[in-house]
This record gives sequence, structure tokens and C-alpha cells, in this order.
Amino acid sequence: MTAQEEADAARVFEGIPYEELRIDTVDWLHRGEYIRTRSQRKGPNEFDVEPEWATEAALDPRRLVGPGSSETSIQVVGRSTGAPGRAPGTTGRVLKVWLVPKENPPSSGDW
Amino acid sequence: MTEIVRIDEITEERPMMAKEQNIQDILAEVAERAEETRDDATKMYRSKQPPSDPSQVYSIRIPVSRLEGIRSLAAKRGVLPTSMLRSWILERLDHEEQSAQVAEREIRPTAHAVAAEFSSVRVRPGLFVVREAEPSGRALEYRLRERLSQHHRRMAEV
Repeated sequence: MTAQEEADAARVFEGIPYEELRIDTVDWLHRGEYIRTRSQRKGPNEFDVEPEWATEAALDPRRLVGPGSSETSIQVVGRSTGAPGRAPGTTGRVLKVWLVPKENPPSSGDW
Repeated sequence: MTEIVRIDEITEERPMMAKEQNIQDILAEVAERAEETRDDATKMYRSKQPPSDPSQVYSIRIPVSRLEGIRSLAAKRGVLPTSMLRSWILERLDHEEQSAQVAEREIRPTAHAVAAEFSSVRVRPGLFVVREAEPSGRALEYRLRERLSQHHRRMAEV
């Protein structure tokens, strides 16, 4: 694979450019409890993420999308307006969310 | 007995155990790697596909005894249980919203008449509080007319 081909491949997920990926629904059936209990596994300073906040970040119209932690996933950086802010008494936080598509290629927008 | 069931879960054929296990394995691997690499710099792209009408999975409680009925009815109609339940909920929401608009249109003339009658005794704000609290437009219209009649009778007595 040439350098150009590698660069092109890095820009797409299952044939679709990251910026063109549809993200319409996010299903937390399997991992909702996992992200909700992060502090129990990682330590008390870790942030427990309610699935609603993660969904909000994933659906943020200004989100950034890029390669995930494996070939089967993408990562999305977006803002959740409902999540508590870092400063006490504030709301809104930028979250990084990893998503796996429900179908391949991910044309339906369901993750 | 009630079971927490996601709409998706009851609408589609339950996946085979192997498929389910495969999904669990993939998600577990992604999660583990995500935690390990969460601070790594990654080239990101600004999405050009903002969701036109974002959806979110919503969990509801449905009695176990009714689940089979839902699956059966969806099968008869040739649709997924998920799609059927979603359409039911949205249709009902549309109906409620339209009913509220119709009720408001029907009540408004009567409410204005009552408000005009009562303005001299400064009770109009109270009437509007009643209107906001009353979910049934027709019931409110009846009560408003009744109050208007009572007011007319009292005025006639005076």
C-alpha cells in the first residue's frame, strides 16, 4: 500500500469518510452500565457517564469523528449539555465516545 | 410481573446466543482498548452529517404477559415490533398535540367572553389559571359557560 493509499484509508471507516458517517441513534443496552460505573473500576476520580450524556455528545451537531480503538469502532468527541461540568455547579462537558456500528457498512446511522 | 425491556429488544427476533456473545466480545474489546488509548492523539474530522432528527433509545417497562401479544401483532402486520411500537407512540403524541390545539381554538372564544364579563370584578387571571390546569378542553368550556351563566343569573338578581 502506498503512502497515499494509507492516508486515504485512514480517512474512512468501512469505506465511508469519517466526516460523512451518519450517527442518528446510539444504543447503550450492552454498555450503558459499563460507562455508568467507570469510577468503580478506574478509581473515585474517574467520571461516571450516564448513557444520555454520551448519546448527547455523539449527536452533537459540531462533533468530531475519527478512528476508534480498533477497526470495528470510531470515536466521537462532542459536547453534552446535560452532563455536569468540571466546575462545581456548572453543566456541560465535552466527552469522547467510542461507537460500534450495528450494521456494516454503517449506512443506517444506528450505533 | 414487569420486566424492563428496551423497545428494540422485544421487536426483533432474539439473536442467536453465538451472535450475542460475539457482540459482547467486540464491545468488551473496544471498551478495553478505548480506556487504554483514550489520551492518544487521533486525527479527527468535523462531521458533515449532523443528525437531521436525532433519535435516542428509550427504555420502557412492559408486562411480560403482553410481550408475546406485541410480537404476534407485529408479525401479522409484517413489521418489526420496534417499528410498530415507535409508530404507535408517535401517532399518539401527534394526536394529543393536535387535540390540544383544537381544544384551544374551541375554548378561546368562550374564554374571551368570560374574561370580558368578569373583567370588571378582576377575576380574569384566575380563569386563565384554570384554563392552563385543565387538560380537557371540552370540560373546561362547559365549566366556563356554566360560570358565565351563573354570573348572568347573579347580575339579573342584582
